[in-house]
Amino acid sequence: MEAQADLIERVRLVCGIEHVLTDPVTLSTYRSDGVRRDGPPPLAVALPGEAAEVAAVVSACAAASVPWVARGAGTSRDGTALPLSGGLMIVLTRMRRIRSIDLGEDELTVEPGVPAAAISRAVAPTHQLQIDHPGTVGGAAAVGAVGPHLVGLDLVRDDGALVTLSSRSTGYDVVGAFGGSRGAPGIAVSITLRALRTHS
Amino acid sequence: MSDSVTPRNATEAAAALAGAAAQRRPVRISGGGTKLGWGGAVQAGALRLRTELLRGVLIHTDDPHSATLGAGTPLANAQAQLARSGMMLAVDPQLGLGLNPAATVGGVIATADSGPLSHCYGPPCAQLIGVSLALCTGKVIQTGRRTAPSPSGYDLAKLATGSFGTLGILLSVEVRLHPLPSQTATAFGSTSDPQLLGAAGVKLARTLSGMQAFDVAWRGGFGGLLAQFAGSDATARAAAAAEAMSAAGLSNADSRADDSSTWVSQRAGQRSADRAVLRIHAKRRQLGAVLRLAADAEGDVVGRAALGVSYLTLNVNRITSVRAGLPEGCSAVVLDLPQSARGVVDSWGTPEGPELQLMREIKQNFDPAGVCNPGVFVGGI
Repeated sequence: MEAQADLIERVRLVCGIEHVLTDPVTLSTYRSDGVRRDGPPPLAVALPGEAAEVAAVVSACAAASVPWVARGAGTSRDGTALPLSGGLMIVLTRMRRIRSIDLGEDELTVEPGVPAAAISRAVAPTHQLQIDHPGTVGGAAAVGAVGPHLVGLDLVRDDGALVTLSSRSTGYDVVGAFGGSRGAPGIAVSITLRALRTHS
Repeated sequence: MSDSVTPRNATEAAAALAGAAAQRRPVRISGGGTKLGWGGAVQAGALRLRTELLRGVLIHTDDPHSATLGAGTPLANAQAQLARSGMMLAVDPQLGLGLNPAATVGGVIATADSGPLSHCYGPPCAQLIGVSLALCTGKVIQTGRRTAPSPSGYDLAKLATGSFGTLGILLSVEVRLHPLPSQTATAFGSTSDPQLLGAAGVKLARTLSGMQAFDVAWRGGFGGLLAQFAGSDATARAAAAAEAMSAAGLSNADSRADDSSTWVSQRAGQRSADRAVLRIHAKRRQLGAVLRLAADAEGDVVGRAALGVSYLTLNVNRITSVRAGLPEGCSAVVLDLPQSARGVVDSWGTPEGPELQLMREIKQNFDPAGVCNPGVFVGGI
């Protein structure tokens, strides 16, 4: 119990006290996913605002041996967005900035909490990118709903290390293979997508 | 102890791999043997596992736009068979050095080798619906429309593509097929200015639409762009593209209907028997910088102008300076090397770091015995 309390204090220092939820009634709203299954109540919910905060939270969990689950809007239907008993839930919906749009390369880089439905508007009218997913871009990428449009990722690994991957990188095509992984290689904290040109 | 084994089917291949794993004996997987010089060297004493009997082409009767291809099938044979049904696999790399088109389907997928058609159809992994992979445990994993998702969570078809056989033996692939175009035509224009060529490539990649292939070439201080169109109106669209090339500042812009030789030199430029070949991945707008680098290194380039993929052929002693001069964010892998330079030049040039650690974890996950082509891949994987 003491280790859990210490973890919550550390996470508050990282994310800010207002972005760490511990009230039982509030926590109960995070027990369900897209098909309303009830999971166990999480220890706490952390809402990091940037990649460095995600890495620090994951590192703190590793140091305290506390399990964690990351999710976006919680629309997943396969149980991967449900909390773990006694675990921390890392919710990425505060990370909703479009970090860059480079239409010369047909690419945009976004944070994982950007609603998937907002992407098309961000690149219109010269480009289009329809992501058929009700939740966030991060969730869409993890379940393979982004398809071949995914060309770059920054991942926070389970030891807190940050890994930058691109379809231009050498080695295994982790970016291409990330779709459907349910985030197994790490938490996507930055996602680069390739949009399609609209030829009128 | 046998030096090589040629399994006749998936069961025999998986058993051979499991047997080698039990003895901790490295396995060198080979198809047509056209790319064995790529990547690092496998240690001496490795068992050569030949895939040549794992061949076959099966166009699915319930979906004529897909087929299952045995990994040991020569790609040229597969394309010829598919063409008889009016279809093609949109993967068209150079199929070997010289006149020996021996590259197999498995070898092409395992090295993610591609050609001009990738402009329109995407890289080889984009043609895959699923793969069948034998692991060192003797287990065979199959992914695709008719099977469950990979238990690892990763999209196995994408992970296996470009893995250089370091995860397991590719047994067969399920692929998408595309109709063979009735005719194709190509527009071309040239210049001796690499910066102008790069700028024209960037501009035309943005303004020309509907190209089946869009390549750049640079040889001996002179270069050009080639834009291929397919279909019944290919000739008219190529003529319009030639006008656009002229407007972009290229000289001698013209177009013509393709014959069998039109794109041969583009594919051939991706390989070399006596010089080094670097495969460079860059941003599209960095094409001019890559061409400038090639010109300074007295190298030749062929590549995909809109994709940022360039194949730079140069003398071995220029590799270090070219790598050092690459624009930020580019990657460069050495493919071909003269025999004398093999084992001396690091083909991958990837620094230690968390990215490489992730690659090693993936390798450990699929090949815990470490017997599948060990030492061939990035970071000595």
